[in-house]
Amino acid sequence: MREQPVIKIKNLNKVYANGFQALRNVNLEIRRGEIFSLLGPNGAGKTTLINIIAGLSKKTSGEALVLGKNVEKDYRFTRSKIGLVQQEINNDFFFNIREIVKIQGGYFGVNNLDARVEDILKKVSLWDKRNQTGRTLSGGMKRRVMIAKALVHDPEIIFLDEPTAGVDVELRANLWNLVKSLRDQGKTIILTTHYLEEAEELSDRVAIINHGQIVLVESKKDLIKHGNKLHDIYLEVVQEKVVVEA
Amino acid sequence: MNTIGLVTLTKKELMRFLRVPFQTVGSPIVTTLLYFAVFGLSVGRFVGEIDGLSYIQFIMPGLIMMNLLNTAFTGISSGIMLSKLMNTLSDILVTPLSHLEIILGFTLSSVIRSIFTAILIYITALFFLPFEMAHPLYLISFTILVAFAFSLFGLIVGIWAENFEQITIIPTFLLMPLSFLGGVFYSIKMLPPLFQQISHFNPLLYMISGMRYGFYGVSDVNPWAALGFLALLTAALTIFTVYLFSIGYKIRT
Repeated sequence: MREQPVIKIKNLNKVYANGFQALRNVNLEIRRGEIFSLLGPNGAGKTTLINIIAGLSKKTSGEALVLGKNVEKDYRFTRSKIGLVQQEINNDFFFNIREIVKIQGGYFGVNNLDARVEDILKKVSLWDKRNQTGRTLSGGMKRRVMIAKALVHDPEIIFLDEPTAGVDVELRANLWNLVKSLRDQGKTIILTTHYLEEAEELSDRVAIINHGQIVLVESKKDLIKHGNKLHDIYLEVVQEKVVVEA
Repeated sequence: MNTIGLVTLTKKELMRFLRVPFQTVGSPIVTTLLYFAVFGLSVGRFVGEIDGLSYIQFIMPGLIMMNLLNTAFTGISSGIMLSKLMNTLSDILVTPLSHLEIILGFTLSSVIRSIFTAILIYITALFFLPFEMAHPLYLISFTILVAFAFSLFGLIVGIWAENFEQITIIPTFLLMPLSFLGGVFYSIKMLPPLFQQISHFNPLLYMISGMRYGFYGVSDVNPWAALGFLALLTAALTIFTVYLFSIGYKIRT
């Protein structure tokens, strides 16, 4: 029997108040334990899709399910299963790193967080900086704080919205290793990125979204099996705009 | 109910308040001391008694009320604005906290902050005045209700506002004038009849008079009508805030 997808999107549409249609009849299934890359040009609808699933945006129509539960009706359940690393750095500058991560865990209803916070901060190599505020950190470190926040409640599904944007090569390699180790722990990872080599390195499956429509969903293996380059496929697909279903 | 989440949000907002003590606690105390010094000690000597109270006694409840509602309003509205500017509000919105828990978390911390500041101001006032509390139960419930109402008002404005400029409009152009015209420094009985009538449309008159009743048992309005008005206002603001959150107004796109 086929396993239930961890995320199921059915006929999802999103029209913003200014009339811009960010998502058009999106259908998608994401499987447990995979690294799923969501690619597309700026404004294609990647972040909107993630935000609807994570609870930051409201859908116009359609349905988004996380582990079989509706993200609006059963939001307590679905949000407790999701960790989100947003595109924009957003660390509260009133607090130090340890406090920021602990507070985030508290919002999720997790108690006795000291050991958990220490463990996470060590994993992202920030334990030495735990008493510093977000303002005093480098861009890469700020990004790692965001990852720590997203992991503190031990979510099953992790959204990484352009996690390596503007970070140096070394940190990018570290983040790739972290993503792979999370997948090895059984987590499902949804990654958006503009770096196609990143998607090629990490993904099990790839989806391309353009003008709010999913135009391709394929396993990475199948995509590049004949020596094709993801870069070429991407450029070809975003120009064609053929709608497919997952 | 996500009790740990609610407590965390409340505590976090209180910690933020305590991280900038000169701005949040020091500033209102110094301002009130100046009011006491200028209006109470110097001008007050020429005014004489009002409703059987010395002038400094008469203005004390109004000054506490001005601070209470300003702290309640400004703390929460600027807190929400900062969360929006730092994009940290989204860290709360992605969690399993319900709308009501988010509203409660922000509001409770604001109520605690403003009452804490009000108590400190009262303690400061005791250097100038004897301790007196005519109706302590009334005073406590009235103070809590005012703090709740203005915290909710601040939350609504914080959600609506696009920048700090819009937030400062309310204390500068609404709360301060209405407080001054609501009888902080005078009894409306001292006004001509027409202005007495007009003053009854000023909601802050009821709040300042209610506070004065709690401390000294004297009031320009029926204190129970003031309490009832406040309870209704708080209920209406609660319903409106829950509605705004439920439609995601300016917070969930």
